[in-house]
Amino acid sequence: MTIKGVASIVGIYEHPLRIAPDTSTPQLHYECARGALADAGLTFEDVDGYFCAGDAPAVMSMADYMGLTNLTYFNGTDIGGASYIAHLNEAAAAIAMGRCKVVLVTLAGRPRSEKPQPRPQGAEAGWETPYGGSPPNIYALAAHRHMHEFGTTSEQLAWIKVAASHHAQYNPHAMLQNVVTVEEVVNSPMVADPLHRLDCCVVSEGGGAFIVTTPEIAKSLGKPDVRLQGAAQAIKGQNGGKIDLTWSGAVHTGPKAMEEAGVKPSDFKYASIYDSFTITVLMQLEDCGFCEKGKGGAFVADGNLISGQGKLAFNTDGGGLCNNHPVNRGGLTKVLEAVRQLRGEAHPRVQVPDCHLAFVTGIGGTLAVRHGAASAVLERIA
Amino acid sequence: MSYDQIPAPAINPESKPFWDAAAEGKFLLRRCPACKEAHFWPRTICPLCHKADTEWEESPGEGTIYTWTVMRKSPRGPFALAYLELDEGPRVYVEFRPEDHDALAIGKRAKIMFHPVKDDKPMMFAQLV
Repeated sequence: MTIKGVASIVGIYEHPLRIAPDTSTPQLHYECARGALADAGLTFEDVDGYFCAGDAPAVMSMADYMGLTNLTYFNGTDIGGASYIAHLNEAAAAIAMGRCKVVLVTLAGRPRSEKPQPRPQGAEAGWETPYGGSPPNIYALAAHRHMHEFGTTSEQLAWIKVAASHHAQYNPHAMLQNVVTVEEVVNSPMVADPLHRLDCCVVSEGGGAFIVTTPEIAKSLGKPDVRLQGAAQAIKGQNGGKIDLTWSGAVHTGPKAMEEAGVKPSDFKYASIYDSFTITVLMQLEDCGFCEKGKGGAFVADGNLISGQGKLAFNTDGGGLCNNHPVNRGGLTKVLEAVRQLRGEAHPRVQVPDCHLAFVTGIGGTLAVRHGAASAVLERIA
Repeated sequence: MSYDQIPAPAINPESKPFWDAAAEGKFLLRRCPACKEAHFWPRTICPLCHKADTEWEESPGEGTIYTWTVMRKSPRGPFALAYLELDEGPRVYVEFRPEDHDALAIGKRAKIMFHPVKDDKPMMFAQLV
C-alpha cells in the first residue's frame, strides 16, 4: 500500500491578516476554509473530510461552527506546527481507503490578541512544566549541541534568516520585509544562547487552509494537479533519557517520504522547510539528506537557500522567519508556498523556473524535548 | 530569578515517591531489572525495553553538561535550561540555579539539587560542582 499519487491539493488560501484583533479564532478558520474552497472551485457541501489541530476548537465544535453536515471522516492529529503536513499524509490515506473524497484542512488563531491555550500535558509535566521552558530556549539547547559537535557558527545560522528576508521583500503581506545581513542577525539581541532575536520566527495571527481530493476530482476542476507522491510522520521524545539532540524526527520522515515518491534530495530545486528558528531549518536539511550530518552550516552559507542564487530555494514567501507564523504553527503555510511554486504562482522574483517537484517538511512541538516531524513530496502532474 | 515564581511540580501517585524523596534532598532514578538501564523521568514500566516493572534507586545525581542555554528575558528574569548527562546514563532536562549562569559550558561537571518553589514545594534544579 502506498499513498503515492492517490491525492491532489486543489485549493489553497492564506489569510492576509497578521494581526487580527477584531475577529474570533473560529471565524478565521472559517474564512480560511472559504478561501481555499473558492480557490478549488468547490463548496462546503462537497467537504466530507475535515482535519484541524490544537489551534482550533475541537473538531466537533469547528465542524458545527462551519456547518459541515456531510462529514464522513475527521481528524485532530496535533504535533504542534507540523500537524498540517501530517494531515496531508493522513488525508491521502483516508482518501485511498475511500473514507472521504474532499478533505478540508484549516489552521488559524490569534496569539497576539488572546492568551494561547496551554498545551495538554502528560506524565512529564512534573519535571518540565515548572521551568516554563518555551520554544526559543528549548530549540537553543539543540543549537548549542550542534555547534559543539560540528562547529556550526552563528554566522552560518544567520544565512538562513538572510535568505528568508531576501524572499520576504517581495511579499506585501510579510511582517518583516527588510532584507537583513548576517551581521544584523548575529548582532541582534541574544534571546536564548546561542539564538539571537533574528534567529527566531515572527509571532503572527491569521491562518490558512488547503483542500485535498482525488486526482479525478482535481482533473474535473481544471486546476493544476499538485499531487502528493510521498509522505511520512514520526515522533521523537527523550527516549527515557537517551535523547541525542544532533538529529530530529525528520531523519525518519524525509528519507521515507522521498523513497515513497521515488526521488532523492538532489532532485529538488525548491523546499518548504518549517523555520520556527534558524536551527530548525539546518537540522531538517541535514536529516532529510540535502547535505551530510554536521555540514548544514556550510550548506546554508553564502546564499545557497536564496531563490535564483543558491542550489535550493527555500520558503520563497519569507517563511516563518519573515512572513508569518500563524498561532506559532508554521506547517500549513509551508504547504501553501510549495503549491504556489508548483503552480507557478509564487512571486515572479522568487519563482523557481519550471518547478515541478517540491519538498515540504516540518518539526512541531519542541525540537529538544519532544516533537513531531512530518514530510511530504509534491509534484505537479502535467 | 525568584524561586517562588516557579509553580510547584504536578504530582501523581506514580511520581509521588520521587517528590517525597526530593523533600528529603534525595534524587531517585528508576532502573529496569530486565535491561538493567536507568531512565528518566521515572516510569513504572521500563520505557526502553518494555519488559519489566522498574525499581527505585537513589542516585548522587552527578554528571556532565550535555547542552545548555540561558533565556535572557522572561517574566521571572533570566533562567538557564540544560540537559545534564547523569553518570548512570540518562540525559536529564533541568534548570540550573542562577549562581551558575555565567559559568555554564558543555562538558562541565554538575549535579542535581532541590530548592523550594511556590508553596514551599521542592523542585529539581542543577548546580555546577
